[in-house]
Amino acid sequence: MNGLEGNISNFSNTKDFELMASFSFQNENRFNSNLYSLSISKAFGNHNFYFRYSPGIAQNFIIKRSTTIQLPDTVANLKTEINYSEKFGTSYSYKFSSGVNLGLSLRYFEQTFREESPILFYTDSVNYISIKEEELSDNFWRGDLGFDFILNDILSISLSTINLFISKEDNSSEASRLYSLKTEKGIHASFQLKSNNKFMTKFGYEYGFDKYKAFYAGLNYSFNLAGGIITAGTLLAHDRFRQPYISSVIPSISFTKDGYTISAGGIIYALNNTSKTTESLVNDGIYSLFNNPYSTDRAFVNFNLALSFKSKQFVKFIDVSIDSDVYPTLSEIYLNKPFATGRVVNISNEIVEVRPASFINGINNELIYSPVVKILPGDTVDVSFFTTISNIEVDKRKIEQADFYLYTDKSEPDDYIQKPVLIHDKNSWDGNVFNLIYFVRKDFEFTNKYSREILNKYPRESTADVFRKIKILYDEFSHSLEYVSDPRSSTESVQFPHETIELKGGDCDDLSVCFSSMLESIGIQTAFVDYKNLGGVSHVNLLVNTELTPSELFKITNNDNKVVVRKNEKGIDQIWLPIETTVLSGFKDAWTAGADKFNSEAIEKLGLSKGTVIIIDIY
Amino acid sequence: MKKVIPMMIVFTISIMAQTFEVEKVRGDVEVLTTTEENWKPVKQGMKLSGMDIIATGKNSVVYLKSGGSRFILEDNSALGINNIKKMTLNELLLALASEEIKNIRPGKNNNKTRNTAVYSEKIENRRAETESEASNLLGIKKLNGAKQLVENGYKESAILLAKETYRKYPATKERISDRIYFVELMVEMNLINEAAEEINDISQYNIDSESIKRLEKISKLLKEKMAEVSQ
Amino acid sequence: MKNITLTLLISILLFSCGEPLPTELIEVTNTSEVEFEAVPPGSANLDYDSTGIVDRNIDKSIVVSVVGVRNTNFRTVQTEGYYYAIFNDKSNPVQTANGHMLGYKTLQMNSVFFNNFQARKIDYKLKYKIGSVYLDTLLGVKYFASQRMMNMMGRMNNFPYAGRVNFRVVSGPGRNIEFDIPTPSEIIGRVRLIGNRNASDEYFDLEWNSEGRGRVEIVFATINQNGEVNPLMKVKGNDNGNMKVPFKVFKNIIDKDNRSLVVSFARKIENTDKFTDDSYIVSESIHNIRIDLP
Repeated sequence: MNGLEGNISNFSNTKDFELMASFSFQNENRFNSNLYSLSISKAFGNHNFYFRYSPGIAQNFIIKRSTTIQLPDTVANLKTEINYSEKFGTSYSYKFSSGVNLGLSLRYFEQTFREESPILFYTDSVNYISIKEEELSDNFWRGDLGFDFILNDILSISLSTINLFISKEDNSSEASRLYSLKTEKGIHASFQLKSNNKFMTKFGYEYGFDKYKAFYAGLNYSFNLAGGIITAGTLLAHDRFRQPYISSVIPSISFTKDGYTISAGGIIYALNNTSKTTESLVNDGIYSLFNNPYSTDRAFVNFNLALSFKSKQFVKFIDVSIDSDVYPTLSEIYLNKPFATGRVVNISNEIVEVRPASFINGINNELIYSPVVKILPGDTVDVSFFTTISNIEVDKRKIEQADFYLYTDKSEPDDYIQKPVLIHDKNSWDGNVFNLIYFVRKDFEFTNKYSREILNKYPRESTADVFRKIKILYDEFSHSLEYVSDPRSSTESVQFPHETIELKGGDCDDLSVCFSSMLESIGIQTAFVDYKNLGGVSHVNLLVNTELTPSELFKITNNDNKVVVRKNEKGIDQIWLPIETTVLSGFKDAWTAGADKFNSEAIEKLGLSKGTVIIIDIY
Repeated sequence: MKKVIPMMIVFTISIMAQTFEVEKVRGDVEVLTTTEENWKPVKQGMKLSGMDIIATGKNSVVYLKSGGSRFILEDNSALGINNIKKMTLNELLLALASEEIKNIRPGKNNNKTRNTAVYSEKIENRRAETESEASNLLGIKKLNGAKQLVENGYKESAILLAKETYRKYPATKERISDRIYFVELMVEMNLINEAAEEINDISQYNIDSESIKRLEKISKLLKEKMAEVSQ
Repeated sequence: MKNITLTLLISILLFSCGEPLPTELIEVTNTSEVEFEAVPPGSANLDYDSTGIVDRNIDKSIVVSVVGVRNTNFRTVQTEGYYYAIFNDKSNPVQTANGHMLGYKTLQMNSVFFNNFQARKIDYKLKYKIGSVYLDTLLGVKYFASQRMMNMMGRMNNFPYAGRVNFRVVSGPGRNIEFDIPTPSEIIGRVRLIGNRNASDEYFDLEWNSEGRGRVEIVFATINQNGEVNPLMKVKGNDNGNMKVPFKVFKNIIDKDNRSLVVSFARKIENTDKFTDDSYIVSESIHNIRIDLP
C-alpha cells in the first residue's frame, strides 16, 4: 500500500523530491487518528534515496497477567506491556534501465517489554509488597533486497527478500523469548498485469521458510477526471494466522494530478473480534505490524507530493544563428537590427511569453534583454537577439562566446545555448556607409578640440560664417594629410579621426569621416555621399551644409553647378557643397572635384533616383 | 597624384555628355565651364560639353551643332550644355525624383541645434550687390533657355531645367508668367501631380488678373485630366 | 491541486496527534493465577518448630486448626502434626503497646478431643515483633495436641492426611460440640533456585505434588540464627504442582545477614461454616523447607 511494506526495492518514478504523508484512523473503542508515516525520497538520475519516519507502524499490548498482588486496598494484576514499532526505514535503489530496478532497504524496529513484578520490602514494622517495573529493549535492524522487472507495457514482476538480514542479539529474557517479533526469513514475489491502461491486476505471494505464508490479489481501475487520474481498486488478502481464509479486504481510491496524489483506503477484516488473549501472540507470534491476528479495521489517507524543484521547461532552443559579426564601434546598430536569431520552440501546452537575453563576453557588461516574443503552444518561431556595445575598445579581432538565454516567468532561464561570435576590432567597418556615422561621432571630443584650435588661429570676423569655417578647416585638414589607398580593402576598416590626423593620411572613408567629424563636432551639418560602383570599389565623399539659402548663392559662387540644393527638415532649401575629401590640395580643388563627381554620378547618370548614389545624413 | 584625380573625373564626364560645337556666334555669348568661376567669351569653333553653361546677352544668338542636330540659343538665355538632350518621360520622372531624394528626410533628429550663422554682406571679397544682380539675371536667362528647349523640342529637359532654376534661383519663382507657361507644358505632358504642385506653389504669390485667368483655365484642364486618370 | 493537497495535509496533520491504542490481552498460560501477598509483621505464632507458621489473627470465637507439618531442614526431614483449638473471648481483646491487635483472651472448656485424644491445656502465648525485638504475650489457654503426644499414648502414628479428624468439645452439660474436620492430602514440595543471578532471571522453582484443583499457599519467611522466623510474603496459586517466583522479588530482603529462607507449602481446607459463623476451622498440610542461599 505504501512505502517499504510493499516496495522493498524502492521502485519509484519520481524525478526529484517526493514527500509522502500517511495517516491512519481507527475506531475500536474510541476514535483514534495518528500520523502513520512521513517519508521523503529524492531521485538523482538513476539513483533514488528514500527515508521514512513511521510513528504509526506500531502495535502495543498490555497483557493482564494472571499473577496478582494483594495490595492494601485491592488485588492488582501484574501487567506486561509490549511496544512494537518500526521507527524508521531507509532505502536506496538504482535503475539499471527502464525495465530493471534493484533496491536495498533497511528498517529499524524497536521492541520494548515492560514487565511488572512483585518486590518485597520489609521494615521493622511493616512488610509490604510493591510493584516494580522493569524495562527491556530488544531492538533490531532488518535488511532486505528487492528487484523489479518491467517486462513490457503489460507485465511486471517483483521479487524481494523477507528478513534477509536481522541484526538482533540473542536475548535470553523471557519476555523477549515469548513475545519478540518473528523474523522468519522468506521471499515475497508479485506480478502486475496492466491492460489497456485502465485495468490492472496484482498478485503477490509471501513464503516464509518456516511457518509464515500469505498471499494477496487485487484489481485496479483507472480513468481520467478533471485533468487528473482516478484509480480505484480492491485487494484481497490471506494469511495463515488469521481467519477466515480471506481475512481482509483492502479497498482504495486515489486522485493524481500534476504530481500530487491524495488517496484513501482501508483494511477491513472479515472477522473483527480478534482474540483478546495472548494465545496467538505466544503460539504464533507477530510477523508483521501492518497485518497480524491482532490488527483491527483501519482507514488510511495518504498524500503524495512530488515536489520538483526542477521547474518545468516551457521553451527550448532549436538553434541560434549569428546574423552578423559584431563591430564594436557600430554600437547602436544592434539596437535595431538583431545580431542573432534564435529558433525557439514552445514545448508546453500553454501560450508562453519568452524574454530573450544575451551576453557577449567582452562586449556586454551585463545581460542584455531583447523584446518579448509570444509563442503559441507547439509553435516554433524566430526570436531576435539585440545587443548594445558597452566596450568599444577592442584592439584585435577575436572570437568570443555569446550566451543566449530564454526566460519565461521563472528566475532561472528555460534554456541556454552558447555560440561563438566574431568580434571585430574597433576600426572594423561593415562597409555600410551609413555606419560611418559611428566613427564620426565617437571622436567628437578630439575633433571639436582640433577644429577649434584651427579656427582660433584666425580673427573672429573671418570665421563668422559657416562657409568660411568650412574653407579654413578644409584647407588646414588637407594640407597635413595624404590620401592613401587602403592596402586592405577599404571596406574593412575605418580610422577614427584622431587616428587619421595622427597617421597623417587615410583613404576616402577615413578622410570623409575625419572631416565630417571636424565639422559636425562644431555644429556644421554634413552628409556622406556613397557612390556605389557595380563590381568596383565604392567611393565616399561629403556634402556640407553652408546653411545659405539659394538666393545667397552669389555669395559663394557664380557657378550653380557647384552647389546642391537640399530642403532641410523644416522644408527650407539650403545650399550644400559637395567636397571630394581625397583631394588634399585645398578646399577649392576639393569642392570642384566634389561638384564634378556629384553632377556626373548623381544627377546626369540619375544615380540618386537609381539608388547608385546615396546621401546619408549624419544624425 | 593629387592633381591627377580631378582631371580623371573631368574626363569621365566629358565622355558621357554630348559635345556641341559653336557654329556661329552673334553678339555677347559667354560660357562658364563646368566648375569655373569666371565667364569666358564663346568663339566660333569652340567645343562645349557637359556642365558648361552657356549664356547669351541682349540681342545675341549662338548656333550650336552636334552631329546632325542643331540648337539655337536666342538672346537673354542661358542653359547648361547637358540640358540639350533628349529625355524620355521616364527619365524626366526619375530626374524629378532625384530632386526629392536629395532632400533631408523629415522627422529625423529635429532637436539637433544648428548654428544659425550670421552672414555678412561680404564673403570672399565679393561685392554683394552686383553679384546678386548677376545671379538673378542668370536665373531669368535660364528660364528663357528652358523655353527655348521647348521650342527646340526638348520638352522634358525644359521642365527639368525650369525646376532646377526655380530651386537654385528662388527669385525666378516670382516670374508667374513663365511659371504658368511651364505648368501648361506639364499639363500637356500629363505630368498631373507636378502641375498640381506647381499651381499650388504659384498661388502663394501675387498674381495679376490675366495670370489668374490662365491659371483657372489650366486648373480646369487639369481636373479633367485627373478625372480621366481616375477612371 | 497543489493547494488542496497541502490544505488537507495540514488539517489532518493537526488532528492526528493520537497514538495508536494499545490492545489489551489477557494472559493465557498454565502457570496462572498466582497471587502475591505481603504477610504483615507481628503475625501470631512465630514458633517455627511447634505449630508451623500460622499467620492471620483469627477474629472468631472458635478457632480450630489441625495441621500436618513436614519440616525439611538441611537434609533432615521431620514430620509432625499439631492440633489445637482456641476459644476466644471476644469481649477481651489483647493489643500490643502500639495498638496492634494480637488476639483475645481465651475461655476455658472442660475438655477437648481430637480423634478421641484429649488435648492438653497449655499457655497460649503469642510471639510478636516490635521493631527488631521479639516479644511474647500470654493470651490464655490453648488446647493442644501433637502427633508425638498421640504416638506416645499409643495412638495415631501419622497425621491423617486426606481423611478426617474428629473434634469434640466438652464444655458443660448439654454444651458439647462435635464434628469431623476433613483433611487435605499431604503436600510435599521442592524448592530450587534456578537461573543466573547476574542475568537477573533467577527464580525459585517451586514444585509439589498437585491435587489438580484448589489452591495452595506458599509462604516465604526469613529465619535467623536463633531460629526466629519472620514471614514476609505469601504467594497463592492454583494447586497445579508448579510455581515460579522471581528471585528479584527478594532483592531487598536477602543480604549478607539474611541468607536463610523458609519456604512453606500449605494446602488448606478452610471451613468457616461448620459450626457457626463465628468459627474458623482449618486443616492444613504444610511443608516447610529451609533453604540457605549461596
